[in-house]
Amino acid sequence: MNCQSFKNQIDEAAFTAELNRHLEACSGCKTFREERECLSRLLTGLEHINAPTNFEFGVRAKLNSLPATNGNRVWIRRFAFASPAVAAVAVSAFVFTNYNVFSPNIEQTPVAVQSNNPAPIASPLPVVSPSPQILAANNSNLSTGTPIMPKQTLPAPSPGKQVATGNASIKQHKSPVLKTDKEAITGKDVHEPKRSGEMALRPAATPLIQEDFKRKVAASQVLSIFGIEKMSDDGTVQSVSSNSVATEKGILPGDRIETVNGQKFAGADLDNSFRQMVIGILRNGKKSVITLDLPQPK
Amino acid sequence: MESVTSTGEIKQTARAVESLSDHELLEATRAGDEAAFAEIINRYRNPITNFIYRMLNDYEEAVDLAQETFVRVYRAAERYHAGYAFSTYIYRIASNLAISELRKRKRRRLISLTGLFQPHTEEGENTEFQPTDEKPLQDAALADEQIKEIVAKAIATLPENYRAPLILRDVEGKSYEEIARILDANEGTIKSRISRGRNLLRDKLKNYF
Repeated sequence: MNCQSFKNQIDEAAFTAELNRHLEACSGCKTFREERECLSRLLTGLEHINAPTNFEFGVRAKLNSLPATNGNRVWIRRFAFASPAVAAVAVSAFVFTNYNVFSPNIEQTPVAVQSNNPAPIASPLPVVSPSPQILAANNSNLSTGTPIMPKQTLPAPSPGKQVATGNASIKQHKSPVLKTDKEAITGKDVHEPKRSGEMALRPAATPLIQEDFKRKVAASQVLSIFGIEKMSDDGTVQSVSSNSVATEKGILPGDRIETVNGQKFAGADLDNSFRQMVIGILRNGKKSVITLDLPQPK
Repeated sequence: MESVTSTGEIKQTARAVESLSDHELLEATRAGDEAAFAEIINRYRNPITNFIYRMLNDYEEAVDLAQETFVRVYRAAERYHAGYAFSTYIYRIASNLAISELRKRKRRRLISLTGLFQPHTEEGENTEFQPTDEKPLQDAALADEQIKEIVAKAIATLPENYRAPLILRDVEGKSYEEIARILDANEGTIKSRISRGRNLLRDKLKNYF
């Protein structure tokens, strides 16, 4: 056994009789043993460091500050994909149940607004095609050079009745739609609402007003064929085109048309006989009757 | 044991907890007994704090890591198996935390500019230890305190693979077998490391023998 083996025994504190005999004979191993004893005294002389008195409190605080236990983390991992799936299902259900809100449906949206460009199917507006007479008049005006009347399309709900369309049943209000009336009369493009929400904000005309509105427009349209270009709502002529039947018959701006073909101007039905019109005029308090014949194409 | 309603019952509960072994305490902790966990803390807070302090030579950090050790014991109570002593288990956690902290500090020193100009030993460990002169100090008590401080610094400058086994053996008084389990190494390797650590420490402290 060499010195290194005895030094290992010294390090392991495995003192034997053989080691003691070697230490008496070997100065190097003896010095090694003394150094180890000195080192041991220094190390064991170190004071024992104690934990602070609030040590346990600190441990509890750390435990409480942890976000989740292992079990919770496992639960979170297990259901990591659940919340997006639930959200997707909820959005799908919402869109499905509110599909009618977001998609325009002609059968469920009663609107008393007319359009110059009615969409054939998808439009939310109920559309009435222009009568063949008006179309014929328009065609004749193309040849005579008179201004072309805007093609008016009119809704025709029954007066005083509720308009039941599809699942919705909406009673129409008696508030006139001035802006819409003006647009319709002046022939300007009427804004077509794209969504039911927008349509809900647009007040609808009463059936009675709608009916009168239709006939007024029809009368003004027909009268414009005879050269009466502009009329106010009460039937007062505002302008007459030159070289027209109306000018020939002596109709002047300011004349008020009270009757058409024996009917009141506001309620005149012009659909049947507008090739010849007998109009009652009130000028300066005096009434007169003028017969207007439809101009013949040249 | 948690539902104590009077002083007598509290004392009885404390005695009951104190009589339990480490394994029984951990079993009770696993079952939700907070008093058992408090007893575990009470038994091991000082040794663990002392061990980590000797490893780092930093009291604040040592307390923080010792608390973290108990936090890990508590959170891993479900996975604990009584294959070996609880003290081995908790010292292994503490030594891993301390070694991780030492490695963090080493990385910080490596990336710092000042670390480039500090001398290194043959073991590659940064040595901040500077031995004092051989003159005897006037005040014996002051000298004793200074020697303790120097020894602590000398330990803290040992390489980490020598430091942990040396502290566990010469400061904590653990057996070679237990140290080998704590550090997850062969017993022969541990003996060799301890011997080399002592030789390094002897060279550092030869003026104080």
